[in-house]
Amino acid sequence: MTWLGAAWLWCLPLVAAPVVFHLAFRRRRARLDMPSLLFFKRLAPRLAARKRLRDWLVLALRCLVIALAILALARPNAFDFGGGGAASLVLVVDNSASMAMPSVVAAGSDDAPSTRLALALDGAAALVGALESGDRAAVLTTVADAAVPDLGMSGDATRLRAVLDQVRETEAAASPAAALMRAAQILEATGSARREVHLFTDAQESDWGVAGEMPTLPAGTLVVVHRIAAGDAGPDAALAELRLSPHARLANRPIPLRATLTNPGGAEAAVTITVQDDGGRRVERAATVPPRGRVDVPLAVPAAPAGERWVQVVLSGDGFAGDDRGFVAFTTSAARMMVFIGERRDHGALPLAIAPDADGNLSGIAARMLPDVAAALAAAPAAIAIPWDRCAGLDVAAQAALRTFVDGGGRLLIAPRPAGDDAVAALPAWCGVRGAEASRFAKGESLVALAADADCWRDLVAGDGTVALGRSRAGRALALDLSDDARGVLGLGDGRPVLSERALGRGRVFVAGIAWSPLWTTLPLSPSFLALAQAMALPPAADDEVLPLVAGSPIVPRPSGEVAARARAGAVLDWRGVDQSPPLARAGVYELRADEGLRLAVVRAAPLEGAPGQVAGATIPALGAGVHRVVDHRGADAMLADWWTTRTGFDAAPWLIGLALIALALETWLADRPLVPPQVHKVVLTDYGMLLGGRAHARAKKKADAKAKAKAKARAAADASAA
Amino acid sequence: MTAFKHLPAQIADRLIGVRIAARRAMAGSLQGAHRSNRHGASVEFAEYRDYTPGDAPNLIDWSVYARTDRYLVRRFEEETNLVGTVLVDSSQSMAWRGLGPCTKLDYACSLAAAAMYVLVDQGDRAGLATFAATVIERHAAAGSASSLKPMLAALDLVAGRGRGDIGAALSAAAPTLPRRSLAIVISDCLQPPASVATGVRRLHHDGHDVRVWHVVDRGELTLAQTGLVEAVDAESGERIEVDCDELREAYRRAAAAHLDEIRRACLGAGADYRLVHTDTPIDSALRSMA
Repeated sequence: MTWLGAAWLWCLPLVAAPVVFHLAFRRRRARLDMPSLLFFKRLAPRLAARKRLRDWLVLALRCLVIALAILALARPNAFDFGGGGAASLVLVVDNSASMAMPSVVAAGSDDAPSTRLALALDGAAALVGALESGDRAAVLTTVADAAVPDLGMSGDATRLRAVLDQVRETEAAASPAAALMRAAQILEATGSARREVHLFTDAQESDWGVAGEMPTLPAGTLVVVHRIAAGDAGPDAALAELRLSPHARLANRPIPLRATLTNPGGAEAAVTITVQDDGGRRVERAATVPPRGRVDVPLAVPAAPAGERWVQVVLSGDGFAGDDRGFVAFTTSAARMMVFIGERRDHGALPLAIAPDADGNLSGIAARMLPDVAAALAAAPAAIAIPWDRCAGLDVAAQAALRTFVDGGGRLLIAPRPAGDDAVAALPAWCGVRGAEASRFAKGESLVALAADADCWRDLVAGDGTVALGRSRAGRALALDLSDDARGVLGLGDGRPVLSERALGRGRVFVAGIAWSPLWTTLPLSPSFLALAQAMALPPAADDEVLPLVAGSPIVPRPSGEVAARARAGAVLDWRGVDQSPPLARAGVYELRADEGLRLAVVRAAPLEGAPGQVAGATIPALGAGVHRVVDHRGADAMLADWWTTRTGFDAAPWLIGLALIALALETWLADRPLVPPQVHKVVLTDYGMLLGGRAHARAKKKADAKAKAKAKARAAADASAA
Repeated sequence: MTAFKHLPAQIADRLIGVRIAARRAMAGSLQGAHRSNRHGASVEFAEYRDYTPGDAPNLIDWSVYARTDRYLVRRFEEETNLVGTVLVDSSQSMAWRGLGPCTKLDYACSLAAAAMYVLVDQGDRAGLATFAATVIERHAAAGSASSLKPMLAALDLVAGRGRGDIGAALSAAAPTLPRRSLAIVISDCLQPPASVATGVRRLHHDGHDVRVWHVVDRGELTLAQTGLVEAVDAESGERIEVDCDELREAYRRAAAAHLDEIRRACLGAGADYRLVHTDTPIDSALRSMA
């Protein structure tokens, strides 16, 4: 419904004018004292009520006349029943990933089954072709796509068709609100009285079945949803998540990668997962996803030289490809070096655990033996291991140098020599250990993890938060007395710590109360020792400043300033904008430049786009409370035939004027019509007739007197005869 | 006599010659001018009956014996005085004045005073009672002018108040009235006719000669006002909104119908019914009703 004279609607409060006048200037009723209301009640007990009812009816009719007159002046035009004039159309095409699936058009249609997007574009193109002189149209998509230019309103059908030709399926979920917000902006700028929004979509349940807020469209805008029937694409598996291992990502080492696959459908999906890196190296693995289930699949990124890298993960073999792609990006580094001060035998099994092959080809950490602290620092290692007594015996300068090393991000590991005695020397205070107490256990004391969230346990923490340390025992140990800023991460069964961790600057200091030797403990014989040792030696993989995104979702917080987006892998994109998120509608790796600096964004396909289900019924929940009409799309020809019926308008003004006249006539008739007084039973006038007239009374009186005289005369005669 | 509000001297003078006669046999205690329910020695022949031993022989009608060869004794009606009680309706509606020169209550009191004066003047006894929903005040019958004064004085003090219920009031008054007496009910009868009939029937059943003097103000029989008014009931305070212009004719008919029904009810209950308007002079009204 469009109000061509909407300004008149401001006069609607005048509808209350008769009521206001009635209340403000109503006639003051005179008081009439009566000895009794008996006679009134004989007339009609509800006479006054009837009069009051009639008065209010008259009042209501007067209000109705004013209301109808104002509404007629506002000239309502119902375009959903037909409307004339030049039209402004906004054609919104759903280009979400699900639109790439096949469609089944209604039976009886000549259209051959095609993709949903192809049907949508056919419909939109048909409307563009049906535009008449003066009509204008705009083409929008539900997923912002840099390839689709925003022309705004245009009457050039050729340009509009060119825009439609650029519309392709994306790998994102539809965002109806954003598209309709843009449609509202466009329609607000038009002066046309006839405004229409045509939405071509498959109304996929996951996108359109969720209640949302619809932007406020200009009054009278007709929203038509052309619902394209969905076809079955078969079993589908979607790439829901990609997670790189938190381990240090070392060059020339495979990098663990976990992929989470989901299956929103009702049939089991068997897929092949292909991991392909930027160097063309491929790894494939098969997986099966149960119906409406999810599986985690461990994968490995092929080993490659150091540097910035990206990997594409693709699922194949399922029925729908729009949710099968994902990317990860990361940086690999060359092998790091750890220096062991002193002899190899002073460190027990630690050098072997850190670097089994000494060169770091297996662990990414090369081990090197150096005689003193100065030489170790000169080698610029990532970590330094030093025996307890040597650390305690360092001069002040060497201690200060070691502390500087740790503050700068290095890691310092301190442990007793395997062949050392029970003497305990004092370590520098910044190590976090005030002292230690030597203990020996004939039967061995069990070792337990004290702080599961400690960095050194990052590779041993199970899903339930416990540390998979295994059954390790200690035959002898130095129970540590920790300062307040250090914490125990490994302890004896009685709770006394034997391994402490202290964060110092950007680095960490680990002090062990046990030598890494079977002479002290069985821990070096445990597989968990390898993970513990390497985690102590190297920090976790640095966050590569990579933004993981789902296609179509905006970047939060929004980039500011001049924003530039360029594809590094995946779909082609070279986009520039100001203070807005780039349209990342497809999976890929993108460089983002903004005031915040250069960042990478890895985008994977929206995982729910392959989900079955289509919104049924006459309303689309995602469009909120806004009035819209849902039409099942039966092809372009049928749609055009329906649309043409709306070209002729229904102007309600004449009807309203007619109704106003009828109401006015009714009001006049009712106001002038006296209330019919109730019938009173017929009055017989006798001797009290003097009340109503003297003649009747006189006649009755005369008659009664004559009768009485005759009676008296007869009685006198009877008495006389008796006497 | 001392001047009373409701019986000024000029009215009393004009009442000379006015007589109130009983229609039914009265049970008076003294010799009077009214028919008694007993047989006596008046000149009014009543009946014959067979002679029984013990009757005085001079009572035998010898002429009848000569014709019929039967001893019949002639009997004559007793004539006695009557006791009249005037029952004045003093409900709030009686205090209303419309087109008349006074309120209905004032007129009723004047009528009652005049009736009592006439009764006493003709040698009968007169009593007074006022009522609304029940009997409010009652004065024993008096047979002399001096004993009439307290009742006349009491009439001067009567004020209209309360809601009326003629049926209940007359039923309550009936046991207090002298046996076979004259009962004059003066009221505006603004009650349902059935209620009026109930009270009158009770008095008539007790052997009283019942007179209903219906006092009406001409103003209550028509609607003189125009336009929309809020009519207020004098007794109940009830309000009703009416359009006088639309109801005038229907109101007049309703009032006439009510009067007709009251009349029928009274006559049907054995009473003598008289309608009197407040603009009718007292003596004229009394002469027409006596």
